[in-house]
Amino acid sequence: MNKYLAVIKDSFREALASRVLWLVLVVITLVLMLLAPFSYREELTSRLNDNDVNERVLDIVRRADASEKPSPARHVWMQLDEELRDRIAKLSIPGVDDEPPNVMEFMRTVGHFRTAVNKLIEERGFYDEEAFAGVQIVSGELRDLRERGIDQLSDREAARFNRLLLEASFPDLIRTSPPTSLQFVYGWADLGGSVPLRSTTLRENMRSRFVFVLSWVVGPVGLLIAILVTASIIPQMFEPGSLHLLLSKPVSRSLLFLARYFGGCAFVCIAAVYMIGGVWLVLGVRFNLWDQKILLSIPIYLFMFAIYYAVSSLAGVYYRSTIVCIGLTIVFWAVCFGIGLLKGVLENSYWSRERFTRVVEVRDDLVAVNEIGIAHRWNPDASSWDEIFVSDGQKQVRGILRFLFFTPIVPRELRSIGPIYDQPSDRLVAIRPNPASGKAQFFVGPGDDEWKPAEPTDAPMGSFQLFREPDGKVLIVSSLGLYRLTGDPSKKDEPLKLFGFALPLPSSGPFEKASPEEGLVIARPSDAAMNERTGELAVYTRGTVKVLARSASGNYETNAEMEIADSSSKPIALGFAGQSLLLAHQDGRIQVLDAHTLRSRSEFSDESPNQPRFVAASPDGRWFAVLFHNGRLWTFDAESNAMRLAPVSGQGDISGVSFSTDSELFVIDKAFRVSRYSLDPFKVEHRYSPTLGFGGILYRYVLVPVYTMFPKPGKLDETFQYLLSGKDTQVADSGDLSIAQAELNPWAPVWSSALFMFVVLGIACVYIEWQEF
Amino acid sequence: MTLDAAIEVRDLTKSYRNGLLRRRFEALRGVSLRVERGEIFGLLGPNGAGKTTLIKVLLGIVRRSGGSASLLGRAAGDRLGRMKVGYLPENLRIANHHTALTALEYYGKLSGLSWQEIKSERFRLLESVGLADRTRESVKKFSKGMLQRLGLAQALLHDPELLILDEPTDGLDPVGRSHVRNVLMRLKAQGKTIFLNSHLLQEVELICDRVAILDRGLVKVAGNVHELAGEQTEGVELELVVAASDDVVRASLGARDVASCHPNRDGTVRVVLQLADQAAVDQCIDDLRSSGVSIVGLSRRRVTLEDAFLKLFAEDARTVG
Repeated sequence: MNKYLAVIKDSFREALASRVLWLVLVVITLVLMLLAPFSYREELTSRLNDNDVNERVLDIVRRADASEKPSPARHVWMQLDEELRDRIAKLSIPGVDDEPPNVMEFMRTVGHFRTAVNKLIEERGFYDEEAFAGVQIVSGELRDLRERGIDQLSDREAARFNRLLLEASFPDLIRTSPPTSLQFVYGWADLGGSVPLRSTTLRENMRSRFVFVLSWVVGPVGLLIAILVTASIIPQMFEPGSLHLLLSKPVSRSLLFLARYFGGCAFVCIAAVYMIGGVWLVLGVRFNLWDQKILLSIPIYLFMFAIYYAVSSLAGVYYRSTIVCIGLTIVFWAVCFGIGLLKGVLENSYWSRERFTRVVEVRDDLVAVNEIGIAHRWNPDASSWDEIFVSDGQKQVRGILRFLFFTPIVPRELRSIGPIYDQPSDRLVAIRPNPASGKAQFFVGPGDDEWKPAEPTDAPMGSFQLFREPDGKVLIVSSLGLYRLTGDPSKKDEPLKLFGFALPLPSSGPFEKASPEEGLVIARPSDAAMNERTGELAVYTRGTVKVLARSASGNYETNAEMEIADSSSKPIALGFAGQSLLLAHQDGRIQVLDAHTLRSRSEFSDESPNQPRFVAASPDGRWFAVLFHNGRLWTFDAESNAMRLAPVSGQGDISGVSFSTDSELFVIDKAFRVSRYSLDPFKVEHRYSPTLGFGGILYRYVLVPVYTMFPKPGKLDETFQYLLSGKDTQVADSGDLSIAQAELNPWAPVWSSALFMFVVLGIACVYIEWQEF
Repeated sequence: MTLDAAIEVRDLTKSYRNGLLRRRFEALRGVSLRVERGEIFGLLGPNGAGKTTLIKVLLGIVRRSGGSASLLGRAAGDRLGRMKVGYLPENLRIANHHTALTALEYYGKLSGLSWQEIKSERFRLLESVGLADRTRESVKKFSKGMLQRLGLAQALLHDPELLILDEPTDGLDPVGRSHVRNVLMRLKAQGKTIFLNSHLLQEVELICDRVAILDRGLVKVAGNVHELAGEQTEGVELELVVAASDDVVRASLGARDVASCHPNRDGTVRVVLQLADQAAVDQCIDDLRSSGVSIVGLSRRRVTLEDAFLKLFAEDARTVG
């Protein structure tokens, strides 16, 4: 053993003699010294940042000029200076005014408006009881501050209070903020303005940023340098005059080679420990992020290096040239990157966007809806899904998403809501974004016109859910309240104008307000679920759950309300049926409440910490299905009060779940396969499995198997991310659980790369044993 | 109990396949030789004779194609056998990151020595090869001769029973050669076996007890150095410096085999004669003296190994021609 340790030590000596190494160590030291002064200070959030203000706020405040009635908008407007008011009045706002905006002027004015409002926020005297009297206060934090009294608040608390007032006054238009923000500092100097982040979120973000930096910056650059430094170790062994002496010694050739190989790895390990250990210390000391899991990146990085170095070593054994070793290692990296990229692009630009997430029963047909919101009707003759009810906007969205091939996620702004089937009118209805204007539009597809979408009308602002009430009416849930479709959406109403300005009245058009008398503001994070049999509605908004029921007047009334501790900024997915209300929390906890008393009946956390994506409830009230982002489906039986992993095929690859009107379960797996299950006991009733086209066959039977067997050193960041988070998916902090998350495949890169490495090293050993030098 | 030979090779063959067409090339075509323990054995031969291939087979660096070979009683290439062998390869290269001390530490460990054993030996050895004042210097700065001496030190570090040296004095200056020669003689006195492969025939003649001459993969001749020289030369070569005219000298010598006869500047004549035996020498001297030729100088020329070697290959060339 001593002999081989001597070889490892010699590899160290050789690497230490390299000038590149010393240069790298100096660079690492400099980077650590540069990072060390970074830190942050936590303070209450008050400032509005770049993306906190939606430009429609400018339109609302300028309209308030014409009103005599005190309101938050008028209060803000009156406190702006005359020059700014004049500029805002003349400003052409995209999506509001027909005239195309002067982009520079628009950006400047929005910036000045934000600066002016930030000044107002800092003023203790900003609060005006009369102006803010009509504001519905959802936030517990705002309520607490108001109860304490503005005079009792510190300056920072007063500024926070003002910010919360504005958020409550302009829901969805002024971004809701976490209670505290972070001011970044470098040494003693502040860096820019404060950022609305909790320190816990920052630490969470830093973990994911660390993974990003490791995978895209330190990984490739560090690996290249490590290969440059160590590539000569193996070829040098084969230099004539050196090799014969080595082979004359009483040592095994294979072990001699492997010892040289491990020598290179051990040397890189020391460099990685220095660099990553240094960063870990900086994060711990300066950011209080003492997360030992970060140190797991050392073995992962080392493993990544070991894979590339195995290729370099095999090239060294065969060609005995350092340059060839480096060249072939780079070629290997490029091949791995190319195959990974090809699969990623194909999956992200097609598979991930086109897979189905929901099933709707339409007449006797089955309609499946994909991630974008495009509906497909099952064609039993051709065993295929045929697109129906597709609007031009959706085609544009599909085109835009083709360019976003680096992520599988469909952004919230590009997703459609629905469709749902409006049975009494035999039509499909949906709310879809108009990519050109950014506005949401309400679409109707009559059944007697082959579901072709008719001319759309503007949907209520902030719409996020569509339901069918028990009497067949269509209900829209928006951040500004509830709306019922009562009129003819294809009929165009002239907007009400005042002094030449069109008023965005939510009740205009074919929609009738159905909110409670006291109003209903549903600020994000939010969700809603309807009990299909009773028509009761459950709403979640910023830590509060409400159950509303339809009154005789047709408007909804709040029947029960409950605050959920410590979850004001955390999203929850709701399911509502029978006597049960199911809350799927962001941390994977499943809570079942009594729908009327809102008392907790049971709680499960079997799939925690993976995040839930969709909750579906059977109309009969017995079954709930919770689909997690990792593609695993759980069912809750309200009768036996038991939660269990659904005994369905495709677990881990399930992308959608729905219930039929007669309480059968639809499960979508393999992207496009829909299976209908009866539930007591679980039994497949029917499968809707489309015939694969050439592309699908090529993908499923060629690309996927090749990719599975191919080494994936570049994907080891997923392993690290999984070890850090414990979650099967790459969690995006979008505040919306229904937005797809990129799946992490933590162990596939490990086993495929390890297998590849053993094969490569094995070939090198056999070659060395048999070759005559 | 008799000890096994240090090296024993019987009908050893080794063939390679070279080039794109994988043509067969026979480097060794049935070599047989035996090196006894305690002797210094020289392996001679022109370039491409198969000397280095034979060493590689003995050390297990390449596999034999046929025949048998053993080292210290163990099959050639056996790891335990190699533990008792010190090897200095031709054109030794030691990686640039080493100093003399770290190189000895590295190769010592590979030979199975402990750190303590290496530490106790390395300074003494470096001193014995004349590198005592360069111990901590990078080998990057070493001349070829210094590298050879360091190579010799590493070969000796684990106190091997058998030393296989491939061109050990290659690149050394006369002082260096003498240094190495002395080391080898000292080792011989200690009872070590040395197997030497060298182009420098004078060196081999000075050091070796026995030699074998290899040619195109076959042992052409093997035996005691002096016997070998004697075998390859018939008669006596006599060199005379005489004070007489060229004509008188030639007349006095009669029909004898005169290899050369040249007048010197000082008026004397230098004559080289090829005579049959000592009686012919005596007769020649008598004839010269009786003709009144004054003998200024007389020497009997010794036949060197080089002479024997050249003669052997010259005869070969004639046969082939």
